[in-house]
Amino acid sequence: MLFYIMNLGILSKKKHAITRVVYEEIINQLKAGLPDPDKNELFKYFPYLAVPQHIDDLEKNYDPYNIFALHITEYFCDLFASQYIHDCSNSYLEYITQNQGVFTDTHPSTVNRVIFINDHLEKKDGYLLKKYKVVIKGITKLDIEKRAKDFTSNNFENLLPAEVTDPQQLHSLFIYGWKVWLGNWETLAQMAGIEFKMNSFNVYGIVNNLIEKSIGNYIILKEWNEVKSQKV
Amino acid sequence: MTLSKDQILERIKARELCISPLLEESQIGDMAIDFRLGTDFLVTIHSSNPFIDASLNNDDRFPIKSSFQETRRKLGETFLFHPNQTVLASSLEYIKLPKNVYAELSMRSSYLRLGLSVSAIIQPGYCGCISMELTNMNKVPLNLTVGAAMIQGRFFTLTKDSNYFFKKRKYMCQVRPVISAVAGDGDFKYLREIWKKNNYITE
Repeated sequence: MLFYIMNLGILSKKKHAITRVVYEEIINQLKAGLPDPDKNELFKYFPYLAVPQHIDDLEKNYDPYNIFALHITEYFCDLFASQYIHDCSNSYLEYITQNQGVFTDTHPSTVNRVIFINDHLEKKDGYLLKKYKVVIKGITKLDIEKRAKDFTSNNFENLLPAEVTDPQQLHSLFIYGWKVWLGNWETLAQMAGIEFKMNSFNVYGIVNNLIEKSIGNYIILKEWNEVKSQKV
Repeated sequence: MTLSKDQILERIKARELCISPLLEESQIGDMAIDFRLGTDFLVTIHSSNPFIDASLNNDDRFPIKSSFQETRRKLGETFLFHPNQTVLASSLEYIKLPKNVYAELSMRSSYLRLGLSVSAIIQPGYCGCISMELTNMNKVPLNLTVGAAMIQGRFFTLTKDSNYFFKKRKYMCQVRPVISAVAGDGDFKYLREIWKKNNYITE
């Protein structure tokens, strides 16, 4: 667990460094001339780059809070999170932004963010994904990879905390919770023996509580067993 | 019929009775299971409200939650319990009871002797951490350890299954203490009407 928290710290400290390198390399390569497919991909993710004058402005005026830098950072954050929660961030984004198709000064469009992460998870790396992965590796010496270990359980459906034995499985609890939340609540009710009609408040509460207790139990058992094994 | 140790173990093995985590099998005694003090607490505090309004007149003007404060400890840390204080705590263990078993809770003798009391029944089919409504009846403060086995549950069988979730429940799969939902008691709407009628209140 500590290892991943350390990774998180390192990456978060280096977030601006990653943004800056991706920013500068994209601008330089665009100006030097990119093959059409790569250029079109960039224009899809950053539509304002299609205007040559904007590229000049961005080149001269780097600022971590300009639109291009902020969008690069957002894509990076999505990519980073997907290591732990896979495509769950897509569900959340679609929920809070109602599948927004346009970008803002601070955020890329949700549609593009979802495509970006899905392409990554489906291993369909285009120019931009490859760019991020090379830059991240260069700066942090770490690869973007799947860090949530899959496990199968139907404990939540039986209203029980999941039994987690590996710290990497802790990340999967979030994915499992989303699966239950997005799944068929009638099936959940049937498995759990719930006869009344559940609403979103009930399901949300159950999933949230069970994730919390699953994590809590993992920590408690780890601490207990570690001390016991030392025969204090 | 009270469940014996063997019967409790059989039910656990068959996954009819779930206790998670069960740190030590020795928590299961001849006729009861010891449960540990959990990490979360709701403590009564002096708030801007003059009293806790658990009456039919509470229209959420004086929410009960404003008289409680949440606090959390880690396993092995301590919690100071003041005289005459009521504290809502939870068991460290999350439990799920079979449909034909209910449990009665009491304080373990060692803690009873210190002036602590608890009393509760857990219904068949209940799942969640056990709510521990603790009162320090002593005249002096008590320092308690999170994770200590403080209460015991005795388990009894019913002749017929009972489904805990046949109706909406105020408390579902709770994993930390939850404020009293007394204001949600359905009878209040009738009692309120009677009170209004007897007091000639027409609005």
